[in-house]
Amino acid sequence: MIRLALKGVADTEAISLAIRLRHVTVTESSDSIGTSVPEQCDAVVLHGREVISRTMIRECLRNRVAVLVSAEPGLSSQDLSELLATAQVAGVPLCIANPDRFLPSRRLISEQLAAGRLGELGLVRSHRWEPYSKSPGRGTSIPGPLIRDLDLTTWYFGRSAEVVYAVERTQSGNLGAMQIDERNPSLRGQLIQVHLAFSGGGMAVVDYNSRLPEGSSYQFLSAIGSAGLASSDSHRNTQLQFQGGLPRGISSDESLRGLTSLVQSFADALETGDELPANSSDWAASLKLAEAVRRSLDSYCAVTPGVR
Amino acid sequence: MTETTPLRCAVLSAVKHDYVARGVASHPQFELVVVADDPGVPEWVHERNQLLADEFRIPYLRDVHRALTEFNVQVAIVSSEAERHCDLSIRAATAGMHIVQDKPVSTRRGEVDRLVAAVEDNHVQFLLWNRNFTPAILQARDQIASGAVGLVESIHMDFYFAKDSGPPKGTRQAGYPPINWLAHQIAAHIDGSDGALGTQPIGELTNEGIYPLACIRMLTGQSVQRVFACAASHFHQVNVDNDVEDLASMTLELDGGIIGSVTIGRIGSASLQTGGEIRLRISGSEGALIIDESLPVVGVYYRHQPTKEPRLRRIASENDFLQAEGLLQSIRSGQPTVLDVLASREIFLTIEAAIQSGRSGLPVDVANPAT
Repeated sequence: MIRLALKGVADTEAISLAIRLRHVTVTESSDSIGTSVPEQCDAVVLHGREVISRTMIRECLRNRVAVLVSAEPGLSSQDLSELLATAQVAGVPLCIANPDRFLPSRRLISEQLAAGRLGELGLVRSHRWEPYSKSPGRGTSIPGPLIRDLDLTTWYFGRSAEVVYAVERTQSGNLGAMQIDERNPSLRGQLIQVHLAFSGGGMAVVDYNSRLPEGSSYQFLSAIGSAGLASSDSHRNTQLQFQGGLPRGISSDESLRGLTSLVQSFADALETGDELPANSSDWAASLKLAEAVRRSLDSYCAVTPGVR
Repeated sequence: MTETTPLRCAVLSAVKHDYVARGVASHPQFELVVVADDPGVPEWVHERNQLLADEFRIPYLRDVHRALTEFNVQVAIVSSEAERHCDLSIRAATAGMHIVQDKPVSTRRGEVDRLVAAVEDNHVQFLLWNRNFTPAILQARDQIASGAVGLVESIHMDFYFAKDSGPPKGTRQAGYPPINWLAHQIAAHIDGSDGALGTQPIGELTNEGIYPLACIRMLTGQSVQRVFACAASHFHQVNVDNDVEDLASMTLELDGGIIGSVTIGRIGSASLQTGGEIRLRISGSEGALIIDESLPVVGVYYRHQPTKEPRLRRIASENDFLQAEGLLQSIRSGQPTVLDVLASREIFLTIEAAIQSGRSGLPVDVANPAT
């Protein structure tokens, strides 16, 4: 039985998660990550959109608490390398996972690709639109959700992009470096589009937009291969509600199922000693890709990741 | 000629698709009166032209000049192979005809420039046939006009035809010759997947790129300044053998800071229920729109249904009628059509830049028509 602490998980979600996990006891949960290391647990899940400090992770490892980071850690790729090295030396599992890889829709697409049903992957198309209030992006940082979508894209292709070209919209309506104006609601949020070229002719267009009005988000992901296509679309997964006037859309939500799958996989790996559910170096590679996106945005040029 | 007298139309070659001629003829104010082509075209071209003429019970002439001068026509409808589009349109413009032309506008920039000059010098109207008036696109237009999204900030279009185009990539066996482009296109006429008919191979950017770009242009009112594109021969052996893409993606940077993207391809019949997937996503300062361009549709499913038959069938589109109506109003008022010759050249230059970008791996500024 794995004793597990949940941090950054809302109370209702923690309860729903706890009753679904096998061979796991949830010892504590909190909706914020905070700074204190949980006690009397074998492992901690750090979840949500708060920026997670490397100090917090290092302290957990020092206390021999296995760590699953299912979040946007706000760590640079160098920070990540150092933490992974620390974990290895200490012999304590540290797993940095993109939680979106465990969403049922994303996993199903991955399974179709792995089974060869779609043939050779040619194009990934991704849109993620959300209200500013959900966006963690600030200043010139590449938003965490965009990094997750970039990670999904390289996961599907099974290799790194060779060329990155990115554009973003500015407050003045010109294209170039973004300046967030926190004071002006009409100028809040980010709008970034990343275009990737892969070896063998593969390509991806990944679009992130955090300028929607308050309310629901929209997501779309398609993978087009030489023999077929798989796609997940909020548009298709929306129910209609009529209350007079225009109908209202009621979105489907798969996030709980995704988090359950990730946490269970982590707990199982701790119990059996098997491979962790995610290869943390994949996330490190995605952070490097995000750095290339920033360079492309700043230079207004197409760049090669890893080449400065 | 009074305003109630139908405009008489000459069809200058219907060898590729006859849907443009049929589309124009769907409007009661347009009447097909003659089909014509040059005498030196291959016999199979004459045969296709003759079929259309027979169906409409109108003459077929192996003489374009006679058709333009002896039948009292006011409109020429051009649906030849892409490489002959401009030549026929220029001749029609020079004869004083208004022109409805099939896409693409041309395969060569010099010809596009000559077409622009001919249309402008002869003060005729030009319409490049497009899909801007399908019900869903009109809904998008109306929503934008009503302020539902505020100022448009980004616009994205997926434009896929789920049509096969011959054998899949990788199926040509050692020792066999490359697939001949023209021969393949001639054979593809039977299922209507011969949109790139001609001796010159053309990829999907050139062949179909006009559709999403025309839509983006109408909805934003802005021009594309810069393009970054990727292109690949991903699905079909004929595209590999002729080094033209069947899959492409474009990042577009438009005036007004608008970010756009188009993903386009002939992705194979297994991929979609509708025979194609065209989606439009627009975000603005006040909201967003997600548009399924195929709607409204009816689902049709039955036992032993052929695999390639679309399960979702489009209904209630008036794109043909509205294109023709728009042309009619332009002829009467002198105002430009929804996709006139200047806009068509802009789109050509955007596609030209995209092709360059796809080959170089670099973003490319769209050429200024004046240079």
